[in-house]
Amino acid sequence: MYQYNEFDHAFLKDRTAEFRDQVARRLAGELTEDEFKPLRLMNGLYLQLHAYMLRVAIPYGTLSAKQMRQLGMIAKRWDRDWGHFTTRQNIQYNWIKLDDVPDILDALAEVEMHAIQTSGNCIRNVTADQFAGVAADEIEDSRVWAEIIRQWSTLHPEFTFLPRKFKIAITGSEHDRAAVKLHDIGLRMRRNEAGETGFEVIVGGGQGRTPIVGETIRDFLPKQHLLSYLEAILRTYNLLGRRDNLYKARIKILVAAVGIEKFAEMVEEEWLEIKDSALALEPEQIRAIEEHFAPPQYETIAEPVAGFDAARFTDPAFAAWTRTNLFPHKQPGYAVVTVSLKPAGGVPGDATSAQMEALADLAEKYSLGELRIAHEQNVVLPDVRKQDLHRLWQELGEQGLADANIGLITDIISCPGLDYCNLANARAIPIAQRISRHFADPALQSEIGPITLNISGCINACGHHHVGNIGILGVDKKGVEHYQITIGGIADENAAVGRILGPSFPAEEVVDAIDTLIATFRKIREEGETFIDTVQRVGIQPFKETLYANH
Amino acid sequence: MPIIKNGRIEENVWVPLGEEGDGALDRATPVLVSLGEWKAGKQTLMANFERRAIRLENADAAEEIREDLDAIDAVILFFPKFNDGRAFSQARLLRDRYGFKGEIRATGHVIQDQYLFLQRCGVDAVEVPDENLLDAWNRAHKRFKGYYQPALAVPAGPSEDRPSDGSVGHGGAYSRVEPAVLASWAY
Repeated sequence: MYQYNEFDHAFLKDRTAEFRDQVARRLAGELTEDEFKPLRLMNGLYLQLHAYMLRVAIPYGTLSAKQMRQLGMIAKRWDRDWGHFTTRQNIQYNWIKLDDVPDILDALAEVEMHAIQTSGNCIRNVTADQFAGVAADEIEDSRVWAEIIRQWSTLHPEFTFLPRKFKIAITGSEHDRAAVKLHDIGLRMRRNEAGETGFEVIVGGGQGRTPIVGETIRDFLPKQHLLSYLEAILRTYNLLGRRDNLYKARIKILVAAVGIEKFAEMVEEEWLEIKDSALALEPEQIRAIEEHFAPPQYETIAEPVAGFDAARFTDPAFAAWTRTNLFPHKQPGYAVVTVSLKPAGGVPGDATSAQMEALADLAEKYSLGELRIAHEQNVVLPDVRKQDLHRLWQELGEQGLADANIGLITDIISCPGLDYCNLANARAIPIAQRISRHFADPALQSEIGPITLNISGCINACGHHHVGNIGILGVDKKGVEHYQITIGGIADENAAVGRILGPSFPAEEVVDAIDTLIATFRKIREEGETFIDTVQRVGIQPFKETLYANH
Repeated sequence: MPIIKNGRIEENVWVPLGEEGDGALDRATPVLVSLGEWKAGKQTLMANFERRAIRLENADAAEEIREDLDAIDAVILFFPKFNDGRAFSQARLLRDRYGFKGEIRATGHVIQDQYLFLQRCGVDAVEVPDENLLDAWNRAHKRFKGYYQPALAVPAGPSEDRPSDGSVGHGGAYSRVEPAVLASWAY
């Protein structure tokens, strides 16, 4: 993974010192709250319902065991002993004191981490496929490019006061695990006819109150032009994006207003001016970053791995876990493991200090010291030898981390909702907890099969409810929390926004409503169909009818 | 209001053309006009005044004065709110793309935390409410020793201890100084 050089360390030290100074100026009254707000936000510091919340960047979701251990230490020392992993591959601490923030930033800097641009109207922490570099279906390791984008966008002088937040995601595989079509800019690595790799560039996607699936403005961008092309998009947006209305300030609104062809034309015109500038990436610059992501020294292991198969035959619980939580590794004899942070009745994405510490230990013991954070709010151990899987699973079990539910109905994505967030209209966590308890039976989950269920506590859609196969949106109805249900959303390369089924439900009826949808699906599904297959075949009508039959 | 330029305090010299029109001002007066005034009376303004500045609102396209830059001594960019960042791109286009060599000044609501960004986009002067802020602004200017992305180089202030080989302001894993960019800065 990327290792900081002297420059990176010095830069981060300067940045931390700058923020320490900004906090001091705020406390001394030299900065108004209005002026301090964008500055603290650009450093990931929110003022939430009960306390300050610090959002720490885990760029493209990759972190080392040492970093994970430090995240656990921070939770223990300065928060209430846990942290929350988010859909943006960040970790959030919910109970932070303003005075402690500079010290926390120093502790993060010690392990080459920071909170830069995890919020604010700037280019946010870039996200990527959590399986980048190890996935068997990958064209190329997208982390190299994510790191290049991270560096380029860090305190970019021109793009730090944009009309609105700006999110970039990248995937190196055909199958999109980074939801790139739902970002301001989505990048898909592609191979052209000559066999060279480059990027398909997608713009104008996003969720929130105007959910839009992004559109392609360029089928193939040669790699050396990545930064100049991004700069051309950002400049066009910075100059022309709306600033009169917060809700119409995202790039998707600009793209929709001028039309995708015209927008592409403007970007290309700007790009031609700068494509051969200092932004053009030279092969040695790319190589220097690539070296950081060189594959580790894998052992040569023959498949099938006898110990692994034997354990699966003799231990049905382990076998169930291997069916849901493993992903094919590009190296024979290895597997990619997703560790579920979604126990029945748990809070999606939460991990205690002890669990973070344990995950760090297990990564060192079994996964070449590396971990990932998935946008589904789970933790990934990317490099596990198959013969170690059974032992790993047992040790995960000792920490309450062995749930076999990845991709199933209890693998719920949820925002923190009204329990923590200033913006929320309704609670999200208790709904997620009730649903995951209701469907806790592994046999039932397995029978239902692959499905995504996403919950947001407000229209801002941090829980990605628009693109859940089942989406639940918290709304405020005359002072009472209600929940609107959508179905048909998809977040991958076939991205689609879900459709609203009808009037919303009060909190106590949500579990029943979901149960009805699942029962309807089980009744009308055809052999081998997943929930989304069925919705796509029959439409929303049959679900609507059963859901509102008694209303 | 005082102006901070190259680490020093300067006084504003530009006088708005105002409603009376150019008859009220003498030829030696440095005159400040809006983009509209400039477009309406370019030839007259050039004939009647020795030094001319144009104020661009942030919805104005810098492109509109591209052809006229030789006849303009300063461009004043306006920040209605410090977090309206359009002027950063305007400055970048003027300095970097169009090669403007005169003063680019930021006015309106600008805060010291933006100083370095402004300079790296080509702004070389800022209007501040109070000259006692000079030290604070100069500290902000020296905050970082290098950057991750190529942009305009930052000029050394009078009390700077930067290297004199032109390597100021850049570092990082792949950023460098583009000679053309440096050249356009060293006016």
